[in-house]
Amino acid sequence: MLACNDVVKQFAIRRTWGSRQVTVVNRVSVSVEASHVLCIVGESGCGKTTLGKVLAGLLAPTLGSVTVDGTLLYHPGNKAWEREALKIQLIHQDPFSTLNPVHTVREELSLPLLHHQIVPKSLVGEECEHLLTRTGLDPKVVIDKYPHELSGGQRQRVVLARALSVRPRYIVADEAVSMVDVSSRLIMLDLFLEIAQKERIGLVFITHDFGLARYVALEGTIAVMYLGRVVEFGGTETVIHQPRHPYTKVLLSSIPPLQAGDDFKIDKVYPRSFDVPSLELLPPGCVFEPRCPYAFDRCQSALPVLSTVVHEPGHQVACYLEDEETAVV
Amino acid sequence: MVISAPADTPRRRAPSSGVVGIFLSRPMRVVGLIILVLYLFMAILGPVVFPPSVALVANPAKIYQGPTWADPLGTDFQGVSVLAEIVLGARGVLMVGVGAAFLIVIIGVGMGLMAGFTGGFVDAVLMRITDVFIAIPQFPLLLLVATILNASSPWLIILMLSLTSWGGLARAVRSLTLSLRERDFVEAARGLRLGTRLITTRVILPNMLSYVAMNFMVSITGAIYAEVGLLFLGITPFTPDNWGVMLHEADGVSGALYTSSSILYVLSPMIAILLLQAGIIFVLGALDEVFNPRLRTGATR
Amino acid sequence: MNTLRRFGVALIMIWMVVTLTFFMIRLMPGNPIFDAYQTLLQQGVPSQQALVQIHILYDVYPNQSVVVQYLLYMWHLLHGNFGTSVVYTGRPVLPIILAAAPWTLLLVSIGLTISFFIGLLLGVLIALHRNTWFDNLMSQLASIFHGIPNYITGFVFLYFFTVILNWFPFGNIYNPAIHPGFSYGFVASVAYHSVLPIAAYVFGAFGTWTLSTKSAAMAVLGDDFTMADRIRGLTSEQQLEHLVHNSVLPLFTGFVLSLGIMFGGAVFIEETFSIPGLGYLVATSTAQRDYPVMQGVFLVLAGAVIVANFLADTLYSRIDPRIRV
Repeated sequence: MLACNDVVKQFAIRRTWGSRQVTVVNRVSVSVEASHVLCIVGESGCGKTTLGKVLAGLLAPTLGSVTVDGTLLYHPGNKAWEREALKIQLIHQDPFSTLNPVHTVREELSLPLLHHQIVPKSLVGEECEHLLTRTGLDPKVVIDKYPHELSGGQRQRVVLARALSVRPRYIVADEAVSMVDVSSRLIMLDLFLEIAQKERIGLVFITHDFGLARYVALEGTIAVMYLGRVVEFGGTETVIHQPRHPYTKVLLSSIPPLQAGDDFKIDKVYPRSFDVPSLELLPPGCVFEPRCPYAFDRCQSALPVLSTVVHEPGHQVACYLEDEETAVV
Repeated sequence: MVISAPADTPRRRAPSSGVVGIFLSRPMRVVGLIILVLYLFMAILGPVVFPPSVALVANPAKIYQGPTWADPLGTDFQGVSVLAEIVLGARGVLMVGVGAAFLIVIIGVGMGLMAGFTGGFVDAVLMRITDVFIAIPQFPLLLLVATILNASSPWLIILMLSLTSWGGLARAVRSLTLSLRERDFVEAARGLRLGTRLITTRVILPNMLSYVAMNFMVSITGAIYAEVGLLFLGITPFTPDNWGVMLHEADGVSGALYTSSSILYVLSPMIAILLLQAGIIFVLGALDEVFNPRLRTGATR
Repeated sequence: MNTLRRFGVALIMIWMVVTLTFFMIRLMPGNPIFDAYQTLLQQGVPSQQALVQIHILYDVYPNQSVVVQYLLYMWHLLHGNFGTSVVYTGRPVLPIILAAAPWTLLLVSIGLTISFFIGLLLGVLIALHRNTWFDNLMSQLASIFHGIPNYITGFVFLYFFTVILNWFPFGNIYNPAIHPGFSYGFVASVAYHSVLPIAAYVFGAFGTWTLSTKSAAMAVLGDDFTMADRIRGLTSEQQLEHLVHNSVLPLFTGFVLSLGIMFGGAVFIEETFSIPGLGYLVATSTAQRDYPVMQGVFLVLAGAVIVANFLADTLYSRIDPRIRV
């Protein structure tokens, strides 16, 4: 299991006088089992990319812990955890920038294979070709090419092949198909899912697109993030068909229907304001309060905590409306 | 009118003609290459063609003669063939230039990479040291060191030249490293747990090879200028056959400044230096393409 | 705040340079002071008298510990005492340096300014006519000129214009027959003697300025706001003004940094044209192994460059608000 527990990540922002801390990820706990899928959904700036890097062992959290299969990551002073962190591979949004411009595909793939002695030296070439074939590429065509000579889809496949080279148990995919041509997005997604299933890899899929999230995590879980916090968490079908948090409802309402009547079966909810508050100046109460159409007095005073919805085990929401409804019922 | 090729036509050259093709693609580069090869031959075969024991013997009967078939560049104030002096001078000059450039690149790249990638305290200390070496006027420092050491061995001169001029490169490599460090492919390499050594040498360094290679070439000329300059001023002890010594004597003992018949003798060492400089500049663009695959195939993303 | 920090860094750098030269001269093999002391002893001079002689010459007692020597040296430096010349026995170093400095300052500043403006003009012209024959030709020429060492330009000028053509006087900075002063004859003589050395400076430096202006201007031309200028339909004159304004800024620090290189060039140019400036002083004192003078001139040059850097940084951060982090 890959899990983070009460993770807080702060960054220092330099100002004319000294610097101030901005909390980008605030007390987030999520987890994913091997061969399961977790989707993290949120708008840009909600901290999902930062959370992805924390989960992938690339960015030490300010507070809280990350564990992979029982091993604690980011152990200060002892580098042994890095060996375990190899189990988690991050796939960036832009496949072009994540491939070294001066390496051919062969060099790109053989570097980790050689360094970690994953296969004997004599078999490295064969393994490179095998990895490429597995991600749907013809080794003969791509193996001696540089990134700029490949198409967007080919690049993302090479990135996937590189991630697979170190035999990961978990993959964190950050908007992994958003830079792929729209026409081949679904093929790419299917490839991800197929490989993840075959290899029993746990997948953390980060996206801003609820449609994608639903497709990817059909049997998994979804965490909705807003301004650094998880506001709703639950099984994919539950979150999509019975959303509880007004923000989730807003996001679901913004998906354009493909044909009339094809909407998600929920009532449309629109925010009161389209301005997302700055991370440096968060509202004192619920972070969504300034935009929430249902906000009431209590929302302005204190932050609601993530708690399980009554009669719906595994479905968590951070909203005072829940208490009100329970009270009414 | 020329119709441009369709975008998907591969513009890639056959790999076998890669590096050679780059050098042959422009006439200036061919000229540069020819010049450099010529100097290389002079350095290697010079003493074979002009045995110093014969070629450098003074001949009072031939002082300041014009060009003849035997002495195409005329003779100097001692009646020695100027061409022989130029050819025999090449080895020492080139050796010091290449050697110093090599050391400059090693020190500069090493310091810059280490400071830029490690950051923090190490960075601060290394960069303060670099700042001092950049701020001190390089040539006066060189004069001071050269005088104190009274350096006659070429190795000592190489050491001196490189120790006084690695600062600029170190600073540039550091800032390149700082910007490369933030790139996604370096983060990917960290995610693949390749380790600091591999990430700096195999992931970051190859991305600045074209810059480093160009700096290497430019450092060669810089070092040669400084070396010849020291000899010109008469600071470093004389080696008998060197262009700097020729210039020093042209300025002093030879009396070349009192007669216009010495023109070939005065100009030859200068032209020898400038031609080398021109050759290096002409091939610089080619080096950029050799080490930068994106330029090589002419395609962008 | 930042200015104060930079000032501190500049002071520390000057101190490091002073310390570096002190220990370089005294700790290297072939320590000149100890050598001189040994020579005196070998000549049969009694050790007490030899010590006194060395003390008169170098202002130190060779049998003192290095630390004491260093502290004494620093103490004297702080009081403007750079020691006394070995060759011109007994003459203090500082007045020698002060007498030489104006000539160097005059020639370097005029040469630097002229080459800067020529380079600025050429660089902007090249950037405006990118990828034309003009760009190709001028860029190649600039990069060749950029690297020509001063001793070559100086020597060629001297040889052609004085030896062969006999247009300009041979050596020195003014006609020794004229009494120095602010008379027309003296100023004219200085101007006449300065033409060739200044031309040598300009030739050695304008290529550098052309290349750096070109790259700075190209970077600005690539920026979006020049594109916006074109869309807004600004005249080419207004565009040029905009271009110069934005590309001059990065060149500013380069201008000051080049001072160090110019002082290096001064050694050759002043030696070639026999101009009694700092460069000539460095060359002659080095040739005569006059260590106190060498060290003094070196410290003055290094100090000037460090102070110039400090001033440039401070000014630069005032001009460009982005630097003020």
